[in-house]
Amino acid sequence: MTEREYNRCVDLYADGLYRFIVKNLKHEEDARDIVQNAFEILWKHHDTLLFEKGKSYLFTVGYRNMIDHLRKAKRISLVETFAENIAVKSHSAPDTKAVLMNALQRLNEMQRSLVMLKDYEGYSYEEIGEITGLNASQVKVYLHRARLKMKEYLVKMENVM
Amino acid sequence: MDINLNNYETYLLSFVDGELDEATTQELMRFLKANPDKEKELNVLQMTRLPEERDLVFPDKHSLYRKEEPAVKKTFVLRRYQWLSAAAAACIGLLIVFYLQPWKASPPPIKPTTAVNTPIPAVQQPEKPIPAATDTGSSVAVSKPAEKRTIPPPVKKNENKNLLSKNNPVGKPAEKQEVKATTQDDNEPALATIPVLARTENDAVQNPSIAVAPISLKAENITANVADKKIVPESPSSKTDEGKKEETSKEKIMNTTTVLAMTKKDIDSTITQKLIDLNQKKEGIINHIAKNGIKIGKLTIAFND
Repeated sequence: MTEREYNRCVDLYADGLYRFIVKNLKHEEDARDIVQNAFEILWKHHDTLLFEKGKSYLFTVGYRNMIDHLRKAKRISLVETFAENIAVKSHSAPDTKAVLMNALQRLNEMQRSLVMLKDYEGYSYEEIGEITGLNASQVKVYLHRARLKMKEYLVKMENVM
Repeated sequence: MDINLNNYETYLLSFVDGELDEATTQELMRFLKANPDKEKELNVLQMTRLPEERDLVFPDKHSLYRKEEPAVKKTFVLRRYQWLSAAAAACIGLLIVFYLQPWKASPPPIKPTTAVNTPIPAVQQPEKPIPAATDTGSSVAVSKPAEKRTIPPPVKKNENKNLLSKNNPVGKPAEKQEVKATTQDDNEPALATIPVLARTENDAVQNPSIAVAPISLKAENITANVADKKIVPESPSSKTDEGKKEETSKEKIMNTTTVLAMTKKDIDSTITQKLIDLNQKKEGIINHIAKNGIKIGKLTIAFND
C-alpha cells in the first residue's frame, strides 16, 4: 500500500470505522482514540499490506481494540442498563429510528457488532468472520439470532404503541 | 432446494442480509406468494436493518493523513551518525596518542646537563689526530676521507642562528630534523676533522705549503695539492722555516677546532631550548584537554581523572 493508497483509506473508511466504534461504545472520545490507533497501526504496516485489504484490516484492528476497551472499562452492563432506561423514557415520544437503536442496544456486544458490520458496511458473512474471528456459519447463526431478537423487540414496542 | 414452513425463516433472514443468490431469491418469492402471511414477517425483519447514518463522521480526519519522509533524509541521518562516530573515534585516538606519548621513547630527551657536557669530548677529540699524524696507522684514516665533504668554516656565535634558519627555513616542524642533524654532527666534526687534520699533518711534515690550505678542502682539492706537491721540488730554505710554519698551522688547527666546538655547543643549546619549549606546549595542551575536554561542534567530550 502506497502513501496515496493509505490516505485514500482514510477518506473511504475513517467515517465508517468511527461510526461502527462509536455506536458500540457510546463514547465519542474513546471511539476517536480507537480509530486513530487503528490508522496508526495500518500506517505502520502499510508497506506490507495491499490496498484491497485496507478496510478489513482497519475494522479488524478497530474491532479488537474496541473489545479490549469494553472489557477493561466493563461498560457492557452499564450500556445495557442505560439502554433500558432510554427505552422506558422513549415511550412518550416513539420514533422508529430510536426504537430500532434501542433494539440494537439490547443486543450483546458480538451481535451488535455483527449487525452493524452487515448493515453499515455491507460485509459478507466471510468478511465479518475475518474481522471478528468467527467462521461464516457462526456469523450467519449469530446474525440471524440478533435479527430475530430485534424483531421481537420491534413487535413488542409496536404492540405497546 | 426446498423452501417450506420449517425452514423459511432462515431464507427470510438470509434475504434480509442480502446473502441469497438469484435462484434462491426467486424460489423465496414464490414461497411468499403462496404464503402471504409470511410476507408480513419479512417486512418486520426488513425493519431490523439499520439505516445509513452519513451524518456521523470522524471529526478530525486530517490528523489521520500521513506523508512519507523522503529517503534522502534517512540517508542524511545515517551519514550524520557515521560522521559523529568517526569524529569520536578520532578524538579517542588522539587522546591515546597524547597519553602514551610514543615520541618520547624514540628521540632521547636532551637535558641541559647533558647538552653542556657533550661538547667537551667533541673538543677533546681533535687532539687525538695530532699524535696520530706521526703514526703509520694513520694512513688508513687518510685513505677514508675520499668523501666529498667540506669542513664548515669557522662561524661566529651570532651566525649560528642564521645558519639554523637557513638549513630549516620552515621553522618549528623542522626541529626534529635539527635533532637528527645534531646527532650526526656529534660524530661528524670528529670524523671530518680527524682525517683532514691527519692529512694536513702528514703533508705539513713533508711540505708546509700544503698544510696552510686544508680547512675547506674537498677531495678534489687535496688531489690537486698532491699533484702540485709532486711538481714543486723541495728547496733547502723551506726546511729552516719548517718549525715555525708547523707551529702556526697547529695553532690554526687548534683555533678552528675550538671555534667548531663552540658552534656545536651553541647549536646544542638552541635545540635543547626548543625541545623544552615544545614539551611545555605539549603539557599545556594536555592540561587544557583534561580540564575543558574536546569540543566538536555541539559535542563535548569531557575526561575524568
